[in-house]
Amino acid sequence: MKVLEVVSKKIKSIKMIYCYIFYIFLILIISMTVILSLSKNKITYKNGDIIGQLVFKNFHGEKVSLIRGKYNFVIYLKSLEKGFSLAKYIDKLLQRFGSSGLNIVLITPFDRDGTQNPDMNIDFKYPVLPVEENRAALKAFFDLDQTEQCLLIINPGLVLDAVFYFFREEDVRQLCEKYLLGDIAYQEQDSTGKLKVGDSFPVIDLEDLTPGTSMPVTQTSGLNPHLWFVFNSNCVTCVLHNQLVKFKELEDEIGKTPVVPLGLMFSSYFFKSEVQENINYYSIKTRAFLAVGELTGIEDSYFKASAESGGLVILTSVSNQILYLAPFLDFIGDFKGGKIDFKSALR
Amino acid sequence: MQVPGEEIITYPADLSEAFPGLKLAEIAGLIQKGDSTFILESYNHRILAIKDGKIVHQIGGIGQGKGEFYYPRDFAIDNKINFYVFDFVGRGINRVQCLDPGGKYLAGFNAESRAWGFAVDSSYHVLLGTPTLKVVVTEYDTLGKRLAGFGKLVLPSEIYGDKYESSDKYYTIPMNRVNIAVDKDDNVWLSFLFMPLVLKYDKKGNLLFKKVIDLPGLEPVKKALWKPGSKEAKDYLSMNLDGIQMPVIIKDIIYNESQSTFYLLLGNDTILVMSPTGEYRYLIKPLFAGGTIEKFFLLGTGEIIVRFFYHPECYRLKVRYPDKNKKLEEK
Repeated sequence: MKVLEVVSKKIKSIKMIYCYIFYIFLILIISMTVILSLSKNKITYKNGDIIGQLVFKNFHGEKVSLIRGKYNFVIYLKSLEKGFSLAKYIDKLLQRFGSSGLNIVLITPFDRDGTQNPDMNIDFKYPVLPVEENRAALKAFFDLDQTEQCLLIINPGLVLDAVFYFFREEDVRQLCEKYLLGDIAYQEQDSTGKLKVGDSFPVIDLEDLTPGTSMPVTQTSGLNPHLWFVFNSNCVTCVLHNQLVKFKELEDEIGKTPVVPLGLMFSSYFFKSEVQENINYYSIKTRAFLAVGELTGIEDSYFKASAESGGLVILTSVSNQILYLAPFLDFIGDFKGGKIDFKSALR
Repeated sequence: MQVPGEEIITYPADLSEAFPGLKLAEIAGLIQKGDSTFILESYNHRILAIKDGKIVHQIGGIGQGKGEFYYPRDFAIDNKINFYVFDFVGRGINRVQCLDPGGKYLAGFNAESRAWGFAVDSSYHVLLGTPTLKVVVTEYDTLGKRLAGFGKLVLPSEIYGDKYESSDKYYTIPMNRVNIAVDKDDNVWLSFLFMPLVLKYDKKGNLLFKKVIDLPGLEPVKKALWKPGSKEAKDYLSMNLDGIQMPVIIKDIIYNESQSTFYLLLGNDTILVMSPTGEYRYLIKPLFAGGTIEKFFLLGTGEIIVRFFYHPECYRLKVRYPDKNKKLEEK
């Protein structure tokens, strides 16, 4: 009996020991989970830190390193579609500054099969890397879940020089000039060669965004007379969410004025399907076009802060002459005041 | 001066281009000192000195380093032409820098994140709007040392009525966002972005008076404020500083030193001129077809310059004041 008592006591104490071990193990697991989750978005780099051999990966898992001796602009975009204008613009910057010491890497989400949206139809000159392969590297700089865009500037000595969470194309241009030329160009005077009344409207190749159109590519020279609402890409968001709303409010009223067809013209920096989506969303009936190349005389594709970011309205005659040209806001006032002679476009 | 019971006098104003021939990128501030006009060009991250319509000097430039700016949103100039610049460095980090006339960095500090509203008094102390610190305004020296905080947070229900008491908890901080002006006696004037309210404090932080702007023209804007996302709300300039998008009731406040008057840019795009004791003098109504005014500035001559939302150009207002001489002749 005594033996039995001793044995049962020993069994109980062993069970207790196992219980204690189990609870300690459980506490350890919970603690590690909490610590890991707290450190999940821990940003470890700040300006002035040596980045060392920061390495990114492309879709195939191959390494893409920063380049010592060059200024490395690492750009993250949460959505390449929304940042399309920027992505296209930095391609231009790389063409201009690549030989002067600029290196660009773009990191953005990819489709599951590793391809980009076929509507992109762009062959960028810089590597475009999937965020999925580079989460660990990026989270040392910023919280990916909270960040729409980020620009890391890493200098030729591989030191982190600056981190920007909000930036426009114009800012990237100024930063390129600052680092690579030592001097920033500002468009301080109204640029010469701007279009004015009496000029011939430039020939611009256009892609017709009307679904199912039989002539997808056309030119402005074949579309006279016309009342054009031209939008450059200085602020894509402003155009798609503000100017198009204003246009819609006017559309029916303008449509009652007889005479010339209306046309919406968007810079080639706009993303086609995003324009189409917004046109459908606002139920805009006016025919819309996407410029294939440059908006000659209207958009300066280098100085992205060119004039009339709110839109330009141009009335062309049968003979392609500009009869009226004004910022969109001014047009609204002129139109409501009956100051535009639309009939002159037919002569 | 308005007589109680009488409708406030309104003068229309025509617009003309303010800086013809100059291409400026989003002006966030304008100060005249002597024969120079200093312009804070936010989108070009710099301050320009303009004389006779031409750029003669600039300081700043894009960057996060000392002496560089990134989307500067306000500035001040002291009597020695030292500049105090309030800019946005990165996520949650606002910065104040003090620079000499040549742009050389003298002092500065990282401000409380999400601070809004900026002014500098005659002692070179920086005043920032800081409702997240539980006071409306905090005063700092140029090294960032906190000197004082004043202004008890105003509950929205105190201004909009008891029926909005349930909104006090979430709306108190957003609705205590202010713009700040300092007069020649270092009194601090606060205009609230999302409440029709102006407060005046002395330099020690004592409340001198409180004025609720009760103009009928503001009623539609006040109604729209409580209908976020509505069609009415979209007619007005809106801001989102604390996660809530709201139409702005009072967009800005400027002190006119030469006339000792205050100008308020209201949410309905009129400009209210007030005396230092809070009496309404008159309204100015700029005549324009489209757009909404985002900012306004005062030249030393008393001329007002306005800038529209999403429009880089600035316009001078030519106010159609009545011809005093003609009235005397008629008499």
